[in-house]
Amino acid sequence: MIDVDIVVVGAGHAGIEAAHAAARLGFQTMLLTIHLETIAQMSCNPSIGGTAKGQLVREIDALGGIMGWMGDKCGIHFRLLNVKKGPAVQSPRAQEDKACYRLHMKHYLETVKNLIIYQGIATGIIVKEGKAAGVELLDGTKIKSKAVILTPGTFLNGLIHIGERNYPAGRANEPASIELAENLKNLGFQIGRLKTGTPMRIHADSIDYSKFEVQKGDKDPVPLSFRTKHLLENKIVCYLGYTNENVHKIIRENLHRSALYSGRIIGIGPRYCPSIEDKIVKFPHHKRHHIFLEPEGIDTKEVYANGLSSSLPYEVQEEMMRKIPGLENAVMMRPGYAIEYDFVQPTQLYHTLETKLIENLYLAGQINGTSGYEEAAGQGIIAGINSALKLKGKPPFVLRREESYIGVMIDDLITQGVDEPYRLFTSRAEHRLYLRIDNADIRLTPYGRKFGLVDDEQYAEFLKSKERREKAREYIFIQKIEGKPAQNLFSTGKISLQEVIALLPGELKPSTNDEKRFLEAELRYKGYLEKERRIAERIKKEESLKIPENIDFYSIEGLSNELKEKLTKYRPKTIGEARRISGMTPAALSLLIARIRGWKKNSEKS
Amino acid sequence: MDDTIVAPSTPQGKGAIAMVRLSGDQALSIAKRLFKPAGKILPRKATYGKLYDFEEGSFFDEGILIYYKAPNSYTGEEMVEITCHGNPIVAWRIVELAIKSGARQANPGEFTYRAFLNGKMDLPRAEAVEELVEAQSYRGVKLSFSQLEGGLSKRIETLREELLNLAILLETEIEFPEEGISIDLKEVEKALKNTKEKINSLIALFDRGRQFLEGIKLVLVGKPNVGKSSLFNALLEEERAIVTEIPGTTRDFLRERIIVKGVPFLITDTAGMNPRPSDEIEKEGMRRALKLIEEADGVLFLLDASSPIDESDRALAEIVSNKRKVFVLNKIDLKKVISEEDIKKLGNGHIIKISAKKRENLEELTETLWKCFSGTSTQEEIYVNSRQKAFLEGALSHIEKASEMIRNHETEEIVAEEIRGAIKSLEEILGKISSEEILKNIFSRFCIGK
Ligand SMILES: Nc1nc2c(ncn2[C@@H]2O[C@H](COP(=O)(O)OP(=O)(O)OP(=O)(O)O)[C@@H](O)[C@H]2O)c(=O)[nH]1
Ligand SMILES: [Mg+2]
Repeated sequence: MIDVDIVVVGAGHAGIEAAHAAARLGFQTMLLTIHLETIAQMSCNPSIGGTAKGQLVREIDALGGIMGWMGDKCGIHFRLLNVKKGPAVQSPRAQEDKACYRLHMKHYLETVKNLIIYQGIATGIIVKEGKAAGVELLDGTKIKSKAVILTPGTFLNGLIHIGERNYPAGRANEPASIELAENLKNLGFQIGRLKTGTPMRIHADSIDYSKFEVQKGDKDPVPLSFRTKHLLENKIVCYLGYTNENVHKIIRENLHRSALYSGRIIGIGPRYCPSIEDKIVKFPHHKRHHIFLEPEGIDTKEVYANGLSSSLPYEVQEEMMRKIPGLENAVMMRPGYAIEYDFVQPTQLYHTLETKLIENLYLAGQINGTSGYEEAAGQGIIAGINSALKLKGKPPFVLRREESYIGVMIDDLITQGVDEPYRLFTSRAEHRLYLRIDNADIRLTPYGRKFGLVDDEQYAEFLKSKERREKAREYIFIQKIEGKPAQNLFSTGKISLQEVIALLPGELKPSTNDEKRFLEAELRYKGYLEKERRIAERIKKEESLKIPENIDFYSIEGLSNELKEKLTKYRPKTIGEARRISGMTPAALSLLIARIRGWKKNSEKS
Repeated sequence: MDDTIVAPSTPQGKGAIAMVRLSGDQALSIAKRLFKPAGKILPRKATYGKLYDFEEGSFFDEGILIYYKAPNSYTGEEMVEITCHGNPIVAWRIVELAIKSGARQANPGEFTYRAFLNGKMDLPRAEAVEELVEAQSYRGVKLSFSQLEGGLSKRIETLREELLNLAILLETEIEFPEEGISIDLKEVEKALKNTKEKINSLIALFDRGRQFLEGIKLVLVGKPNVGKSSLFNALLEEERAIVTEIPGTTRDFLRERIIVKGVPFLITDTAGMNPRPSDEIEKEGMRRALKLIEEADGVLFLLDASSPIDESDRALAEIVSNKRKVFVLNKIDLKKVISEEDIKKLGNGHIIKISAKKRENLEELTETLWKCFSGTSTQEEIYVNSRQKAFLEGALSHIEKASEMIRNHETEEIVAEEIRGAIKSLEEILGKISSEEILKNIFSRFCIGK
């Protein structure tokens, strides 16, 4: 019998952040993984960041998470997406050396105080009096804990499909967590099925790169993390190529052999990351589709064929590969495959990611219906922080939509549920112009600091940079050129950012690209940001009104039965959560508010 | 509540008095801008004062103000009630001035909704409130819906879809920068222009609503002494305006309502248009007449049949050239020196020959007015109320801003922000929200792989 405070099941991107945060908050935390060698494995594409995801990584970093920092350390190709657009939609993305990421992450976690890394397969959750109290391992070992965080990724009842064949697995040739899935079902969770896929990997030396377009990294790479000090270096290039009609023809002829199109897959896949057969069926007029060739690391010849995700049999994948210019003689090292896995409909969670069904049980990552390393990590850190806060008896940590992409994501999940793997997009954020990479630290580092996730050095640096940025902004706001406000001249394109910076006294001049970006954004979006701030304040006030946990929704007169049922089922904690329940009307909400106010008055009296 | 709301609380239409209510933090400070009290304003005490139009720098009515200090008011917030004379024009001017001072026009039932939110009302009344609150997002739309056989909602819906399509284009480019999808912002601008025109034509329908609620505004114009006041009196069937043979009798304007077959007309008698005003008073009369013409739904262009068309008539015709008009050839009891051909040279419009003095042919005139200005009852019955109009104008300003940004080569995400704003304004009319819809559309239209 092992005794810890918090046990995290699964050492993927969600589990790592969860365990790290919980340990840093002072709890004896166990990070459980099937294989120590696969900690932080990047199961699919070799990159971190991208539109919205880059912002998300910055947020995780600002809170004190590790993804961005490790991503910079093992990054081998860096690009800032949307450079030609405004700062709000600029997102960093890094190609990673997968092996480096895995090894260094493991090594780093091994040095974290209060964190125990343990190899074992969890088969069930120990529940005592409705509360999670530990996990049971395949070998019979029992791990006792006060909280459990589940981050099983695609392992949860995973089933791999290649062509006509399928076999249970969490990743190619790795055992699926079948007992754990069964256990969750038995505990009463509503379980759904999703699907995702991964493309083939090709031997680098077998590729004729002359047929591809080179995609270089940025000259002046933008890091994922605020903490990164070293100069980032582009060590590889990526390549862009295209499919053609011949490739499409082979796919079309063999569609019946694809796991997806033969009806063997019931899980729903993501629309934004379709398999190649999906693309060909859904967009029959497209003459070609993109393929990006992305090296999986420095000390490996494996190249990730982005865009060729497929569940066709091996020989069909091989045949279509050979029809692609430059891949005529390519040697496949791993075939692509589709994987189906279980997920827990996230409407069964609170915004803290604790399940409503079992106290002290938290879920994060793909188990909540998301896809993407970054989305997983973002939930992981929130689950980690909240499990620890709860054990400390402190109020929960819920980020709002107005202040973070993490807040947008979790709110979407909890209030809308998912019907396909959920990915973040910038357009999901109502306050997109505010949720930027250049102010993620201003938005979130104070929280991280409060919880003890941000160390003194990082915090001192943050304060300095924050002050410089904000002072520079205020300084420019009052500058005039020939009687006209400098801010105005800049936002209407009459003067350049360089000219604006020239107005600043030496000590206020931006010292990093992020500080520059911040200045640009704050000037350019001034009116919008002011409006957003006002809206955010109003929403904060109204939405934060708490709904007492023991409220009996059935006793509220005037509510429709349907709403009474829904409210009882979802048990919203605040007016904000209640508002987002589908079918909720303003009238019903006012009844609820009136009831809460009345309830408060009564309880104050007694 | 953060914003201050305003609305007339007495029924629209004429009465002895009308009352406009304000509620919210700023109620008193807004009221003080447009109400100049004779004494000190004290809570729950009536204060006499004058209503001040700060835009025009003049007083327009007198009335009583009562201030209710929060929480001792109907809504539980700071509240002000201003009682004025019972002309809807006065009440609506108060509302307009309050809006210009930072208030927002209240949604139907919103005072009650706020009273409820602030715990001013007990639960047994909640069901009644629920209905009121439901109306908040739908009533305006439904009102026009039932009245206008579903036209407005559908039109707004279409406009919203047009804008959503543009948002989808922009968002695709933002979310998937590496897919090689590039959009032509010029095309977006073109589409915006098209949408803008449609919104403008909807806003124009606001006048229709106002016309039926308050009256179709017609102005009598013509040279001095052509018989405008005589016709005015004849239409009212009372000696309302002074009539003399001296040119320049009418100096200020007079406005009265007549009902023709159930349709209200607001007829205004003006000072005769003298292109060479002889004194300051005449000049001022002219200036006001010009403003009236500008605001009018149409004009009655009077001509004296006994004297030939001259420079003044032609100058006047120029002024009203873009107005809907009816030519009234007066004094046909005298020797006629003007032919129809002469009149046609002045512009388009029906020509009615009357004698105001002898009350001849007046029925033909009113029949023509009814046909020309209200003969739309068989057409599609759409109009927008002022709440809808405000949101339409909101959408319009977002669209104009977006177009301007495109012309200035600004980046996609702020153009998108304006389009989102426009969509939101339209959704405020319909009472719905989007976001996921944009994403769903991206995927059905573009092939996204990375
Ligand atoms: N014979 C005849 N005289 C008319 C008729 N209508 C008006 N008059 C006379 O024309 C003169 C001017 O009439 P008003 O109604 O005062 O004319 P107005 O256009 O209002 O004139 P101003 O206010 O001075 O611009 C009066 O003496 C009227 O009696 C008509 O139909 N026939
Ligand atoms: Mg007159």
